[in-house]
Amino acid sequence: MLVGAVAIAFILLGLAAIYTTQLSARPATTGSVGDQSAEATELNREARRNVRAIALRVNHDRRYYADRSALRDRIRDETTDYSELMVETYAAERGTMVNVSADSPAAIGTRTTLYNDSTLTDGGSTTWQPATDARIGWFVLNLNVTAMDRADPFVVEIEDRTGNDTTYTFTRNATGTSVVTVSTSSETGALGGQVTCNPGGNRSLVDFTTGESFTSSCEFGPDINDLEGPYTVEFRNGDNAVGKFSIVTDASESDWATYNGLGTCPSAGSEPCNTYAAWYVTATARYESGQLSYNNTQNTTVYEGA
Amino acid sequence: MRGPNRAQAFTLEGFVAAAVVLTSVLLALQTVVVPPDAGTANQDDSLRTQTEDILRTQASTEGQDLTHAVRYWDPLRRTFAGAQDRTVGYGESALPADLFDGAFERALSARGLTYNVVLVYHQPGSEPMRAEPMLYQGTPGSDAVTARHTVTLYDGMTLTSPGAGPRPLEEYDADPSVEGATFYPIPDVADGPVYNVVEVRVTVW
Repeated sequence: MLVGAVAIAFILLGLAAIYTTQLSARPATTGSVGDQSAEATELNREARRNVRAIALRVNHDRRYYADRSALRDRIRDETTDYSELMVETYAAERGTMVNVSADSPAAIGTRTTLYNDSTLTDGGSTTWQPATDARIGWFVLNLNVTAMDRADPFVVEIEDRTGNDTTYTFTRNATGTSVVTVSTSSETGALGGQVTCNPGGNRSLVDFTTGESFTSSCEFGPDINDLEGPYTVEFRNGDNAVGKFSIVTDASESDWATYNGLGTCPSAGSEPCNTYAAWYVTATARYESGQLSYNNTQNTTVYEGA
Repeated sequence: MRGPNRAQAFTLEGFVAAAVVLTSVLLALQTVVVPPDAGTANQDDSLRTQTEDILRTQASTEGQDLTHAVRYWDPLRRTFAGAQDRTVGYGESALPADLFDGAFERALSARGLTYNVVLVYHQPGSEPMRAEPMLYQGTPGSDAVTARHTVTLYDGMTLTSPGAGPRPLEEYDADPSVEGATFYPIPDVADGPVYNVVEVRVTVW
């Protein structure tokens, strides 16, 4: 009996030793790799979001880009500046190496722009089409309200994929303070209506993609996000409106002659004109730590919802 | 050895054997080491994960993402809007419901946890990064965990505090000593459209 008890005692002590060894060997590694994996995934998401945000701002913060490489180089350089800040942030506290880069835009579209105040004609015709048969990512009018004739309407008509027209009529009020009335009607079945948009200063900024004014709280619909592309945009009575505009579509440079017949910026006296805009960008995110190496390249659209 | 003597010997052996087994059980129980991650560390990981999840959720909230909180600055009072001062930010008072959608109050304060929220941002040139306390409730305990999330500010963004107006960030001055300047502590550190990269750091204990 005593021999059996001693044997049982040794077995119990042995099991205790094994249990302790197993638990002691288990900690940290699995958890920290999991944390780093989540961190790398988040870096990837941030990289995509911010390369897109940088490309969007680069597209619009200059009047024009002389050629595609000027646009491409600018996006790459600004992304490098952003990446250097990320490198410092991650290295300071987490001891990890990260890098974010923007490769050549996967697709370059067209920005048609009038960047000096003028009537919204194509240089001659008051009725014309600044964009034909293309997907729209950005469409903003910047009206100089006090320079517009009172009560003379300016019309924007957008034809969608099915051939239905949506018509937006902009009219400076006939009397009193200068405000713009936007009347909307649509063949798509979407409800139109009429709203009054107050200017900020003497400017009224209108975003057709969201149906909002940046300078007041007015909203109108349907907006472009409610319609189905590709679209054709027509301006009518362009001499009744004064201001600037910018439209970005997925039309490529090779289509410009038939797309709207406008010249390439900055040909003398050619406003409005066509220039380049990144439509898709390629972002690469890299994450390196002692335990995890992560690298992902992805294409992302610059204009969400386009 | 016969009869009663033999029975006594068996009884004694039984007691000795029982003592040996009991002693080995006690020794085994004392030998087993409970490693730190089996209890506290797992709770710490869970707490950090929850806090990181809040930051990530806020970062992807449409229209009012994490930069909304970073820009919730009152340029006239020179503090976060409604905060006590720049040393402790909101200090012992709760964060405004407008910030982080009240998520930290619900997930941390309601469970009796204490936390600090600090913004760590870059300075121009090679100067070291600097921290601006948004909510400082004290020195973290030894069991504190930290969650981080990085956000990017752009030149054209505006402050989000009530009444801050439409002035873009690039028109604020990051030097509080400039008389009459509209002050925002986070400076513009890049030439292009990027304004700064800010780490939102939440320490919970």
